[in-house]
Amino acid sequence: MLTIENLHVEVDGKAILKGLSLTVPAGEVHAIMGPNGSGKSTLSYVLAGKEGYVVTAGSIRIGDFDLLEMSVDERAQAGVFLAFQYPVEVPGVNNKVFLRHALNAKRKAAGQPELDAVSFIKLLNEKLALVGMSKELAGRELNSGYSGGEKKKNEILQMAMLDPKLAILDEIDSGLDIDALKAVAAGVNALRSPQRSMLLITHYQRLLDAIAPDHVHVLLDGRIVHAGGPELALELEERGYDWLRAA
Amino acid sequence: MTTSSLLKDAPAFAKLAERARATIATHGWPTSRLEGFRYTSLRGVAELASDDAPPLDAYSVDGSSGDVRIEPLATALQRDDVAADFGSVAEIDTAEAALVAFNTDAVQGGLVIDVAAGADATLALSLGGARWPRLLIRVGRGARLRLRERWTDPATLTAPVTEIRLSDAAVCEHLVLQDAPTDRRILATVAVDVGRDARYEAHVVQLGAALGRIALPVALRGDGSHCSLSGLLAGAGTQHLDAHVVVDHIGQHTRSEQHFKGLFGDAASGVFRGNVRIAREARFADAQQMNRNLLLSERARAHAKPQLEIDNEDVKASHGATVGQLDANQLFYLRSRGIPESVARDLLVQAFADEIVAALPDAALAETVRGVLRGRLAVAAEVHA
Ligand SMILES: Nc1ncnc2c1ncn2[C@@H]1O[C@H](COP(=O)(O)OP(=O)(O)OP(=O)(O)O)[C@@H](O)[C@H]1O
Ligand SMILES: [Mg+2]
Repeated sequence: MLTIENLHVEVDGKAILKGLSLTVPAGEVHAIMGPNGSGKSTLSYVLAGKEGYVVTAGSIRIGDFDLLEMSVDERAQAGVFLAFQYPVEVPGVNNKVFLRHALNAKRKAAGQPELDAVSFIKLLNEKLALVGMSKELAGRELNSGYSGGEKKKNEILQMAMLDPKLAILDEIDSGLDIDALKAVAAGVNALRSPQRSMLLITHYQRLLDAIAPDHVHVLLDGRIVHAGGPELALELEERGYDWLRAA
Repeated sequence: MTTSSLLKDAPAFAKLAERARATIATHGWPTSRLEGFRYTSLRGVAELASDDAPPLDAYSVDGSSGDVRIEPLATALQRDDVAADFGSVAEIDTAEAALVAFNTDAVQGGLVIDVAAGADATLALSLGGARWPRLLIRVGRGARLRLRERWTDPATLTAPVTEIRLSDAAVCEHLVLQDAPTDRRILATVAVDVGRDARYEAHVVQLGAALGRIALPVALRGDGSHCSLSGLLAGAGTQHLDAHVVVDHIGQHTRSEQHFKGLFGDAASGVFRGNVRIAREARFADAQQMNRNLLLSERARAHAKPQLEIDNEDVKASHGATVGQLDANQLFYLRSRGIPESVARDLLVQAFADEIVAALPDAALAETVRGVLRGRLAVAAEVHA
């Protein structure tokens, strides 16, 4: 379960999040919608612990952990996963080698032994099938030269491999064609679980048609200004955000 | 009789030795006033050089195959054809070439290597303990030589000079791995003359030595000649590594590619200088140059000095040079998957180096290089932990 209370965040001295509160119980999928520049990606980066995002007030807890006390890699090891709006290309680092390092770092933190090569490949093949990604792609240099859709699929593969407690998916639908959107949504749906909270950042109803959220929140000017059930997304599609600004 | 005096008895050598002495008398040791030594100080080196150099082997042959003739320099120089080629590739009369002059004046020995026309040969050499070693390599028409050099245990100061002459349509694939102990100083010159439709391919990896400098002047003399030069300078501690490349496009339709990378940690420093000169008559030349440097600490330094001098308009040329740190977004991405910072850094550093290492034409040596780099990173990680 994710609990954010009264979160204030500055970037380069500029206030971006201004008292954001949000709770996502385990097993639920919550969508966050909001106009460009309202602070959605900022929220995702703060959760992941990116440098330069200064928390001036508030708290973030996931389960028993105080996230703000933890480094980027500790958060990930504890089960935070951010699917990037713009996944980073890392030429020269093999995708599989990367995944194995990531998985073993998590196992080590949990006091588990490293996964041997055979078990790793078995797990990888299983998850590749789950997200509908080719072995060829999984063996290439990390995100390097991947198409936009391939990058997004690779984010879902990483999520499947790392089995996080909290997954934040920042515009996982952007840049995807119709089939890729279906495939990615199927991957995400397959990863819904009673142990996992998911935060789905999106601009579009069509993603929420494919991945039905339990709740929808509207983030506007650094705050959650409105919340509702799945039907709220439809209303936003029709009315835009202005009526909420006025409120 | 020492090797040195044997050499000097060769009649054709006398004239060259005279030119060498004239250069030494006029210019002496290179100073930082010279462009090529601006960032590479030879302070203290002259004193080392004046110690009597022990007459050790210049090179040992670790293995060879194919039709290749290997002769000691002293005996080969008695032949007119060798005497005519010796000293004909490397510049000797300028201030920048003073190291070649010192080597020529004091040369202690070396090898003359001939690959017969049309032959396909492989040769592996180790640099010995001589201060002034010398190689003359001649690859015959249409022949191919795969040359592997290992500079692992040279003299405290060594200034080897290698001259390579490629006949028409010859190919030389030259790999140099310098992994000397960090108390050594190496000031090498590898001068190459490339004939018509011939190709010279260099892979230079410098990992060791307190001071490691390789000057690599390549003359693309024949029409259609081509050189592809790549290298990695990886320094730690207080190492200083330098790659000084000069490519002269002389023939028409000549092509050159340079791809060098520098990786410097601690208080290490490095220099990459890549001069490309395209002569007026060198029409349709194509010159590409890329130099990237990664600094792993605040104290590390890299000087990247690409330079293009173009005297005609029918050319394609591009160059780029960067000096930077590890990419913060890449680091964040790796760490956001739970990879600890030190491991993430190592992965990125290895990725940076591997662009050069993976292209080495010798898998075993590539693995050796990876091992050295891994060892260094592990040590660095321990220190930071
Ligand atoms: N380094 C920075 N310096 C100043 N302002 C910044 C910086 N980074 C982000 N911002 C600002 O913070 C605001 C929120 O940006 P953010 O990326 O979180 O928006 P978003 O809701 O994800 O938008 P989109 O829907 O376009 O992805 C924007 O106004 C942006 O310009
Ligand atoms: Mg965004």
